[in-house]
Amino acid sequence: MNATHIVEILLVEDSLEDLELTQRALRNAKLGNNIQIARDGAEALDFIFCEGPHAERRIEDTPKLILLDLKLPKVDGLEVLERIKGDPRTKHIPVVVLTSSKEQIDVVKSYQLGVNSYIVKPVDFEGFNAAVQELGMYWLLLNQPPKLNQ
Amino acid sequence: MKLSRWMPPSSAVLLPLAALGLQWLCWSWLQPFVWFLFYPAVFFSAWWGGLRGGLWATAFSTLIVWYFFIPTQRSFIFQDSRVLLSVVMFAGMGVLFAWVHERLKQSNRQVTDALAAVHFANEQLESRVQARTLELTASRESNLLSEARMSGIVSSAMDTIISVDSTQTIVLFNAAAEEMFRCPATAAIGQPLRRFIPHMLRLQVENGGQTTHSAASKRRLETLNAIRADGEEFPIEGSISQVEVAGQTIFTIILRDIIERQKDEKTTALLAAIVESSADAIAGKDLNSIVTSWNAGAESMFGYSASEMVGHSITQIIPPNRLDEEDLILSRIKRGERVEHFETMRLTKSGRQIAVSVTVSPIKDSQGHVIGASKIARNIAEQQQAEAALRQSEARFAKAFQSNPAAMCITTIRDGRFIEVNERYCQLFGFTREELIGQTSVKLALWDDPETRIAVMEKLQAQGFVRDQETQFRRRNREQLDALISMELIDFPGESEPVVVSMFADITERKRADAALRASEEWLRLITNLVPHGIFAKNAAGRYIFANPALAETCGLPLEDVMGNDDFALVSDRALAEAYLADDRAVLESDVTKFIAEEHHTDLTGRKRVFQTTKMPFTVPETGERAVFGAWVDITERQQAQKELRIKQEHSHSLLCLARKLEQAECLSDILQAAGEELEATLGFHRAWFYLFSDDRRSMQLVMANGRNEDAEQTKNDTSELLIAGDPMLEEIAAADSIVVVDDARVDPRTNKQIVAQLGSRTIVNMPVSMSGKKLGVIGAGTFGEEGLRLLSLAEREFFSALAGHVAAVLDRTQEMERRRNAEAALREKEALLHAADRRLAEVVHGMTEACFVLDAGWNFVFANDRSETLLRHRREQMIGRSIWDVFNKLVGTPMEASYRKVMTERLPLAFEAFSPIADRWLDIRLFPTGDGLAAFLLDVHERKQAEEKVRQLNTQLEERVLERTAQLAAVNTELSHSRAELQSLFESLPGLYLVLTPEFKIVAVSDAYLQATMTERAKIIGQGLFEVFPDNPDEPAATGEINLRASLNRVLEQREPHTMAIQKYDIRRPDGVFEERYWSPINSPLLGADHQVQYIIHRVEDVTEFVRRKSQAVSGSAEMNARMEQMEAEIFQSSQKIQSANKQLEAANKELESFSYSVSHDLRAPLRAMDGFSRAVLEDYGSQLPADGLRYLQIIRTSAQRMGNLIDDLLSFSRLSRATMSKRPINVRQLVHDTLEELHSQREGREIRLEIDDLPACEGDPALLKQVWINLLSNAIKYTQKRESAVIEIGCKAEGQTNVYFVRDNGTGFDMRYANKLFGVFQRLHRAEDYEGTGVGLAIVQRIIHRHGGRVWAEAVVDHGATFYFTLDGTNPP
Repeated sequence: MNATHIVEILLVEDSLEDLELTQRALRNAKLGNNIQIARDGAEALDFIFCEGPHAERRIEDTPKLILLDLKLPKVDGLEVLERIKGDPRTKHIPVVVLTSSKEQIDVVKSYQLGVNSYIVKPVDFEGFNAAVQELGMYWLLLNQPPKLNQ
Repeated sequence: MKLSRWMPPSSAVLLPLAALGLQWLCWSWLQPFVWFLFYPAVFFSAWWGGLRGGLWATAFSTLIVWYFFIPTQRSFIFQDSRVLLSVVMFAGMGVLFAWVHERLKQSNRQVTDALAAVHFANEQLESRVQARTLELTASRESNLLSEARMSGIVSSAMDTIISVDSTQTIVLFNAAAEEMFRCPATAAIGQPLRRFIPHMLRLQVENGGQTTHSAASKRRLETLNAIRADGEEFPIEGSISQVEVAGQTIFTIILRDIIERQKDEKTTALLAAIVESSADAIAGKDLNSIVTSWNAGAESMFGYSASEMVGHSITQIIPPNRLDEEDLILSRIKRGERVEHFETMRLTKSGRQIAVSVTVSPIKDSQGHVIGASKIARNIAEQQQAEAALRQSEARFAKAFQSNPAAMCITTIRDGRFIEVNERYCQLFGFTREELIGQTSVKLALWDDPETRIAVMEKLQAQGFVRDQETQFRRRNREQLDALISMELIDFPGESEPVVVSMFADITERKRADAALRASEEWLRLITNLVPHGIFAKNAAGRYIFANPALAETCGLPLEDVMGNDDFALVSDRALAEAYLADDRAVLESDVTKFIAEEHHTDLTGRKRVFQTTKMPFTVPETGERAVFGAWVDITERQQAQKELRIKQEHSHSLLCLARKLEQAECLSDILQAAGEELEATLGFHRAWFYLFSDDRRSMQLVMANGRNEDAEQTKNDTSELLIAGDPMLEEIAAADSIVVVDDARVDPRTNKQIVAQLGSRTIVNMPVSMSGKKLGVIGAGTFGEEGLRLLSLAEREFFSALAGHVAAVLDRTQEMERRRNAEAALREKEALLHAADRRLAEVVHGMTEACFVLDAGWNFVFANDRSETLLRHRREQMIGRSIWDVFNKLVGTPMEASYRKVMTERLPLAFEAFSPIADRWLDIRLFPTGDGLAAFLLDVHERKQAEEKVRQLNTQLEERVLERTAQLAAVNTELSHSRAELQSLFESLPGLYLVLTPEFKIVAVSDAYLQATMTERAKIIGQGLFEVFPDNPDEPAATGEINLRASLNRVLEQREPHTMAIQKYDIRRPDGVFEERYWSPINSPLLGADHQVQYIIHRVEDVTEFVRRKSQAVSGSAEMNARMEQMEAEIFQSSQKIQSANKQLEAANKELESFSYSVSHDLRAPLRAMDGFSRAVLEDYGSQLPADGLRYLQIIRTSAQRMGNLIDDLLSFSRLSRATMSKRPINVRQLVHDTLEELHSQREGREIRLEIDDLPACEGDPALLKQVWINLLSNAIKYTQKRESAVIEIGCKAEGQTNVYFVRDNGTGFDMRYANKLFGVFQRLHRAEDYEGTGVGLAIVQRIIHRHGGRVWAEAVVDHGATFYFTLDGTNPP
């Protein structure tokens, strides 16, 4: 297995600006390598479940972390989350919802669906930076994923 | 050779002739073989003579045979032609023979030539070998000869010659080679050369490309290794030459074993060196006694130089009478014998005969022939002497070394290895000789500091010796050893390097003694320098030869000026100096120590001293000079001190007398009398006086004066009152605390000259008399007129002061006595007056209704009023002067005692009520500390107390009655519950359709009519949820019954007001499960509890199904009625439809709002984040390239974006409030405020804020929402007080009627009340953003929450004085 093909982070984000800012924040946190980007929910699902353009991918090569926006074209974030957490092959992947929404309903639903963290994207970039760094550090470096019996 | 030359031609004739003759003779037997004998003849002729011989013999033989034997015989006529064939055959054979033999001969000749060449070469070689051998031998011999001459060792070796062909196969191997290689020639020949010389590879001798036989075609071989047959390797040297023999190349190698030569060369060089350097005379001579060599030793011994001797007869140095010795020696030499140590006499060039020991050895050539003699002569006289000297010196050295009193050792230079040590060394270092020899000083660590050893050794090597180097060593027991070490480098037999001879002188003791001496000298010096006594030594002439600093100091001169001077230079008084000198002389003459107990000395400055001097004679050790050694002690001060002591004793005595007198003094005059007597007796003052200061301290009044002077009276009159102001002396006296002395009143500037002149004052002494800090007056004394001056010493002044002190003390006493006498008189006067007043007071006290008594510190009664007599049931006399605990011992151990004691110790008033066992009544007791005791006021409260007791009893009775009543009430309650049951049955039997619901919509009661109408049973629905019992008709998806009913009920809960619903279709499930269409007209009314909360909801419905049906079926009664009803119903229906649609619109609007705020939450923030994030990215990445304004603009963009973000957040949270559901619970407001303040900790950091938190009653509400209220209000208070240095925030609650009003008050900026109405609007701000940050939503949120709780919020403020925010919550009212 070629190490460079391991996707560390799947970043699902429709806003180009937020995408760039998130990437920038990840780069600043030295977490910028091996990021796969999905611009909508369908693309994210294709990647995760190795369908469509990602059919040749092995589903076992799960990304180490999924950063998921909630408001997404085509398939919305909560549905993506539901699909990920509802599939035994992918439910162990840490999913962090990274969204603008502070709406309680989003938070509650996300947690009900089994999200690992829920981060509200703050307006100010320092806060954004810090949030991205912290979650990346935690989920990529500190968190020990459960051993899978496959 | 001649024979051989002539043989071929002659044989060609002779052999045929011989054959002719023989055939002739033998013809008879040989016939018919005519050619029989001629074939051999021709053959041999050809063999001998070659081609020519053969041909000749053939021709001749043919003729002979033709003539003599071919028939016809003796003619050349032949009978048979066959003969011709034989002739031809013969001739052919002959030619064949000739030719063959010619060929043979030719080859023979070639062989011969080749052999000749080889021979020639060999010959040449041999000759060269010979020549070389000779040459070598010669040189060798000459070498040997010379060697032999010197050492008698001769060795020789023949050269080895080996020839090899071009294949390097050995063809020649000579005897020397056999010997050299230890291999017989037979074995060697045919072997490859390699076997013997493995590395000799190149044989070719190149000589310009041509190979010749000349001797030039040879080359030297470099030194090679060769191998003997037995495998031994050895070095060889040689040459190689190359010869061509019959096309064959033969290499001849001449080798020499150079082992021997190498050895020889060494030996020769060695011997030559020995010979040349030998001190012995070594000469060589031949057998004719001619000198052949003459070494330097011989030159020096005999005086002849080599040139003088070589070539001349040795007999020159032989004395004539010993010439026969030479013959004798020669004859022995010739026999090959050696003459050893032949001691004889020889002549030197100068003709002197010297004793020599001669050793003569024969010199042999290589063949062993004696060819000369080497003669070694030794001058035995010198030798003998030298040997003797050596032995002697060795012995002496050994002896000197061993018995040397100095420690000595011989060591190697490198590591200090001991070669020899002497006895003393062993002793010195504490080792035995065996322990030292072979050991190294380094290893034994004898040197205290190894670095020193290295340094010393370097010095030694640099200069060859070391002298008296002071060095520290360590003994075996590690004791330090100081030694002077001297070292020398010497050669020592058996040592390759020079060795070190070291000699040690132990100076440890000396050093110690030196140090001790130095120390004691130092001590002595210190002592003499430090003692305060003068120490000196004077010689017979009286000059100081020693003096210490104390002496010099006494003389007032520097020490160097004292030394060498006599006393005449040191004292001003010549007589004194002479006296000193006389003393000195007396001491010297008598030779006895003199002690002078008191010697008065006056130095150059006139200073007088008294010495106690000791002088003793002594002899100066260095010079033997007689001198006086002396020391004196300055006793001036001692004498002075003794004198002073005496005076002080007198003074003390005088004071004692005075004290005794004063003791008996009755009045002032007695005191002054006594003081005057003592002043006269001790100080000699005849007159003394005593002045008192006037009360205003402006003048002094003479109180007493005494004296023998007749003018005393007059003096008294004139100076009885003195004005202090303006008289400096009096001013000083008035101000002084100590004695004021005027030594001479006539000249002292302080005195009033007029009075002085009048009185004739001379010395005036005044001492203030003070009593407990207050100056009373002055006691004085003085001399007048003829008495002259009287100067007081320090001690006398002290005496005077002490006297004044005594006087003061007594004066105090007498004055006190006087004052008391006066006071007593006055008191008596006043007493009369006071008595009246006192009585009045006493009357008051005694007439008080309170008993009053006073106790002193010892608990004794000091006062008791009349009332106390009655109350305490004791007469005053029984109490006064006695302890309370004795009088009233019943009190001991009661709480009352503890209270008394508490007041006595804590000195604080105390009031209490107690039942007094003394009074047998209840008393109100008040205790006050007074002075050092206490006062007690006792009030009889027995009646009151009894009344109280009665009340208490009444209360108890009341309580009992309450209990009774409660029991009665309980009974009534039971009755009531019965009546409630009645009521319930009443309710149930009501004709209306009623349901009673809890706020959770559970059914608690239902009327029978309702049950009937809804086809249910009571037991099935009581306790069930309304909507569980009555669900919507599942067959009708558009059913709105549940939704609308629920909304209505919620509304009732919220608004606490009845709500009438529009006609509602709500289908009812029949017991068989089928839903029946029904229309209802419900009214929901709240039933409020005492707390104004909804306790129950009464749901009353009317079944209007019939009505609706009827209407739809247009069943009519009277037309008008119907028309009206229809109209009304239509209106009702319309309005209800309108309401429903409005509800729907509202719902839609709510939904829209929700989705709006949702998308606001998502989408409005995203662009702001982009603005902020990318501005920040620009700042980070290109910040350095931007001008300051650019940076600022970016910062503004970021700030604005962030602010916009905050606004959105606040707005969202505000809008969320209206949607959030509220759940009310009891709330501990105190805890809530506390938690809120904790949360706001970060905002308070660095601020000085005083928080005043009143008691905060609990309330009921939504905890999360109310917390938001407190957060907003408190953070506002913190925010708007930020410009106050000390902020005060007050949090409290006041009751206004039934309602609790909570408030937060601050002393901050406040606001203008004119804008108070704007305060709670969304985004309304009364301050600029740069002054106070914020979005203006906080108070709007507060208001929204409070309103949702049914409360009220308002504010009061004064600009720059602070603001107060009040709010109420409905339902917080106290019960």
